[in-house]
Amino acid sequence: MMQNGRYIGYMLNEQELIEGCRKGSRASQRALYDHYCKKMMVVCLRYSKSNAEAEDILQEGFVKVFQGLDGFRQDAKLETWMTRIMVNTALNHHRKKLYLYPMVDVEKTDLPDGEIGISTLQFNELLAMVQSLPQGCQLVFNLFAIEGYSHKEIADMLGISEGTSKSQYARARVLLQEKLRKESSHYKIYGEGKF
Amino acid sequence: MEKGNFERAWQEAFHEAEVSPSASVWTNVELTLEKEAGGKMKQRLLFYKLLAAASLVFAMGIAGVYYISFQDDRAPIADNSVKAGSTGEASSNSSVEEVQDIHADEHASANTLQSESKVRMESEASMYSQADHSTVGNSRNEQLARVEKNNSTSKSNDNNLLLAEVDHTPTQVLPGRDNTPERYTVQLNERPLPALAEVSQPTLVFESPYSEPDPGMVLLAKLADEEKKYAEEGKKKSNDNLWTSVGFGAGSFNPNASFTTSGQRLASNSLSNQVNTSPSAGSSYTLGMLVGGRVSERFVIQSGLNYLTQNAYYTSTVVSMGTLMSASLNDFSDAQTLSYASTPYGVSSNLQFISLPVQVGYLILDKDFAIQLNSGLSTDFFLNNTLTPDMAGISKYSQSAGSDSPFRSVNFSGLAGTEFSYRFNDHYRIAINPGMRYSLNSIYKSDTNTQINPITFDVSLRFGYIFR
Repeated sequence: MMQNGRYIGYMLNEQELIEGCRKGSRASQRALYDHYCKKMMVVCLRYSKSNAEAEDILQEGFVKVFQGLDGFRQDAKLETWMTRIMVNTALNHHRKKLYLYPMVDVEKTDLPDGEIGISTLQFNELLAMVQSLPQGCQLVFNLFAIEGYSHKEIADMLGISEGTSKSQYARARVLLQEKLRKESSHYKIYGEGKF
Repeated sequence: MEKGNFERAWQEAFHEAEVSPSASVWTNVELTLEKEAGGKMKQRLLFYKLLAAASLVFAMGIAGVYYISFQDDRAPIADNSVKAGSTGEASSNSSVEEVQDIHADEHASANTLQSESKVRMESEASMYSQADHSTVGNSRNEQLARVEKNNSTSKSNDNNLLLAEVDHTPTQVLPGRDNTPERYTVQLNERPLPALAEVSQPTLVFESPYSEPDPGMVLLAKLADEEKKYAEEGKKKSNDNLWTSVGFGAGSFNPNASFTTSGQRLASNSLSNQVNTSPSAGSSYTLGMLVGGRVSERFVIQSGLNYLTQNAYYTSTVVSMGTLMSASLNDFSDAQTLSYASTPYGVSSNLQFISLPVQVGYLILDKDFAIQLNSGLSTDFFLNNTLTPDMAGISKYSQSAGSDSPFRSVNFSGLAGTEFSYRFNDHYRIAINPGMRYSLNSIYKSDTNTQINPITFDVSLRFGYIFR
């Protein structure tokens, strides 16, 4: 449907969109993109250091989505399937330079005594925290905490040992707790008005 | 490490989050998809090109093999026939001389071993030159040479030597010699030479001194068979004088054009028919019938009627203004002012023609399995062009032939191809034709400033009926 020169694809259901994309209909592809691009952009941002990098991953990921839709068996939700493609694309993106990241076992991790809640923080702040993590920690944190993979799966995906995955995650968690503690102290001092 | 509240809190924080990417992401995605679609079509195009090239090479290969084998087959026949003196006057004379020698020797020294040996030597010399390996078996007195009278040919008084029969069956067994199965009987026509006057229709029996079959004579026999076959086939071929066929073809279609902005006034709220695009190759389909006839032993001519449709996909960034705008801008002759840029959208173009091909074919192999090289010209009558947008809100646009149409009503295309066919009985033949069609003129009129000379590579399957 054309409205003010912009296509609105929500008139079609997901199945119709998938069928359209499979037939190579550019309109269906555009509608599918419009529907999911914002959520997928968040996925890409979590694995990136900048918007530009995230957009590169998003672009590559959507091309793979359209190419791979014929193989989508609909066992899972389309969104889940697309997220997995975005994550894999991001990992491929990083895998090329993974050897540059210092991914070694952390001998001793001082886990914080108590956990600091993140509910008071906005999404942008949380995203900035994740993006500020060292690259290896960022990948492992995303895969373990948000995507829900096990350390064994992460180890296989990244080609590292399970111990390395665990220690990287522990380090990410410590760093995030510290950042959260700082933000929390800002809250206490300045209140929510700061945000 | 168990997942706890910490992880769940992060999951929830990102669960419903959304961030808009910049508009350039979709443009890049679309461009990548376009390139890949173009790449696939290029691959398909390459496939048809390779198929056409392969068929041509195959046809030339077959023609080469056929030609070489034909030459090889012909050469020994000519040599042997000359040596045997069956036809030519000069050769006949030389052979007659040889035979005269034999007869003279036989006559002069009929009962002597010397003469026998001489005859043998002379005959050997003669037969070596004729058929590599033969020798005189024995003298007449020892009844190793048999003289037969042939009433049917005895009346003939000319000087022709009739080397005729190659008899593979043993006619006589030589005592004290290896009884080889190969023995040849050469019948000589009666010749009124004084020395041989009393000997009419002599038949000399030669026995091969070799245990192996004489390859020269075997070859002669085979060639005689081949000659017969060719003669029979020639009779058959002459019956395939007229045939008709129906067929369907599919292939790749390359618009072979660069598009410019339209100079046409467009229908309201519709697509422009020429837009700034990234044209990609498409598909082509033909459906039709042909009638063909043989004009000489190797050349055929065929013509018919085809329906031709050519599809291509473009990405457009231009649409025309709406009705209101068109009405208010009636005085504008430049249609560019009636269109505006939009986000890229896909456009399927469907060109339809009625085609009248006339082709000349050369048969490089004309048996049950035949190979034919075709070349010709096609007159294509433009029917219609339909542009179908791949985006809702823009209507389909169709344009027929006529004075206000940007398309030429009549176009000409060059045709080239190869036909591989198989005749599976006296009346029916099935054929596969890889071929190429190139438009000799732009299908757009010259005043549109657009040059489009489509190239089509296709493969058609034809089912033919042979009139007898």
